[in-house]
Amino acid sequence: MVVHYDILNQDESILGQQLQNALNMTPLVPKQKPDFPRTFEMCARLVYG
Amino acid sequence: MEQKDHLQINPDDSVTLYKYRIDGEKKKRREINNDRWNEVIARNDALIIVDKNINGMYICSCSAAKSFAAMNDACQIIGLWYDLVLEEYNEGLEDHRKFRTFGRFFNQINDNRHVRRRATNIFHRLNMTILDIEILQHYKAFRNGRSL
Repeated sequence: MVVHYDILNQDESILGQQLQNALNMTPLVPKQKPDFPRTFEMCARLVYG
Repeated sequence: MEQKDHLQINPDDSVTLYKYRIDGEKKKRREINNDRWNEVIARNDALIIVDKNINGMYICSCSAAKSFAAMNDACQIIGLWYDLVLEEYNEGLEDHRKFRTFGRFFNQINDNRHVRRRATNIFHRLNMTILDIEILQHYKAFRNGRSL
């Protein structure tokens, strides 16, 4: 998955898919602290929401 | 995989050499029975390189590469989040009160009560705490430290 600024101007379905990709990817993120998934989800929801 | 192009190794740095050897022939997954497959993937020291077959095209992948890509993707999203938060913070402020980087902005939260109050309002609206922001910051710092 590659994140580009351009996607922030695209339609909601693409943003929704990007958000889902980000959330699906979270378990693969290495060396994360226990609170990271919850915090990262809020972060991603603002970016793609 | 990890990028080593820009790695500067100094005389006092410690280095460890890892060697992997190819153990077995390249096979299709369907040619390996499930018991043998489960036995191999349960080994912590196993490195499995997968040529993923997508509509007849093979794309090379392995768990370490996926993990490294996920780390970079997460940090890129965190960076976008920084930009959005900073944009909201700077909105309506005189130029000399605006921050250009999230790092400088975040440092000032502890040192400047005006910055802290305005920033806390934004974080509160986003249902996040200073601790949450620290988690994101620490993760980016960890990634940046790894890729030096």
